[in-house]
Amino acid sequence: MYYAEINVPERLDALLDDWDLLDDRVIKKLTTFKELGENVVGVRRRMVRGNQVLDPAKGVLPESVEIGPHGLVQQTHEILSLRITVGGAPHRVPHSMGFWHINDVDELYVTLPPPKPGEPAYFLVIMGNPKPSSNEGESWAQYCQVCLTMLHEHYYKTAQFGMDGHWRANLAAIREYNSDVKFRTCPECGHVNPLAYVWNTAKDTPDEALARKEW
Amino acid sequence: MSTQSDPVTNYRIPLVGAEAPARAWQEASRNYIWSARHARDTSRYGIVELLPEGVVRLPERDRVFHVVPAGRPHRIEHAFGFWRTCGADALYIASNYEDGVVYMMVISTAPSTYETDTLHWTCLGCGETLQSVEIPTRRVHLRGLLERSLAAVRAFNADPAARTCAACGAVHPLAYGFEPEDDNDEERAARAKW
Repeated sequence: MYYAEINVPERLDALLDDWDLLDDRVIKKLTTFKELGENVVGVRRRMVRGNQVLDPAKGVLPESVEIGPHGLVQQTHEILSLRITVGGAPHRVPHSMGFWHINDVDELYVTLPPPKPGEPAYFLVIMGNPKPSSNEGESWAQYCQVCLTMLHEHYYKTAQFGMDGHWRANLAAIREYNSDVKFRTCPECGHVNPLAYVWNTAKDTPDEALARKEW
Repeated sequence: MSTQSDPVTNYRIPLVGAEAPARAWQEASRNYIWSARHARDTSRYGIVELLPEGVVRLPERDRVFHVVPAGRPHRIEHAFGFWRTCGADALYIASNYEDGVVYMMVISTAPSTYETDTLHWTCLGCGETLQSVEIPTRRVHLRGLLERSLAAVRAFNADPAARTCAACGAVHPLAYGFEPEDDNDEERAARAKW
């Protein structure tokens, strides 16, 4: 083995804290999102059957959806396939995100197979962590379900306020949109769109919980 | 006459299966992505890092997700034959799957602080620095990084004096670049060896 003479004697954990983000001890810290240097990382343990992800709180999540140059684009989940949603592309996961997320930074997703059949897989979400000096952020938007006209958008400057305020700002955006039917009524086609909801099911009002089942 | 292209809003990069190359470097949006896979009965690619305390080898696990911070020299054995010090964080993922082992390294080019990569070789016996080359990755992008790395490798290989440690006299083995397809016979043999 090369380098044998100069390998360090110290235990790895003493030198590289949390060196394996999939370690059972570490993964608990990543169930939402955690800032790790230049990236923000989340890891979810989810059952995967075929191309469907089974979320214990949200049920079956069959796909993610994006608004591309020619309208809606559906993407199914695949184990061991890297997906990148390019910064600026509105995207959502039905029944999980009751809004369209528009991130200035790229978002990467990769699913690793479960340790054994019948156990949860590892669903990794990675995105850039904008430096405070940058001008990057994200927004939570609503589009008309019939004609894709933008109805509402709340911008959050992640670079300045960080992930700490992310969830509160997201909830505020959703509650504002839900507060008045005028926000949900399309000025172009007149369609009245359903209520929005945040990622965390624990924050759902009864009406938002119903909306989560709908779209 | 002009042509108009739609913007690319998403990428799908299979890591296994018929669509996935056995090994590849790809540029997708603001990311450099290395992926590789091999059969289960082949020895795994180790990842080693050079810390002030010395060389650290990450233990083999069924699956690993590790961040190599910007500025820390590292190498993936059999993937590139030098220490790479990247100006951005490198995300390293390895996982067993039913047919073998799959690897991926993702480096975002988004941070404005990512200007360069530095390649260097240290004596395998005593750790003395032998040679170092800086590449302006921000300017030359992934293709330039691959080309210039290979040029640096070949210059190192062609100079026995550069590969001989002034401190202990050990001779460093031949190096190899990022792309196995570019290997000459000597580089291919070196890639298989270390």
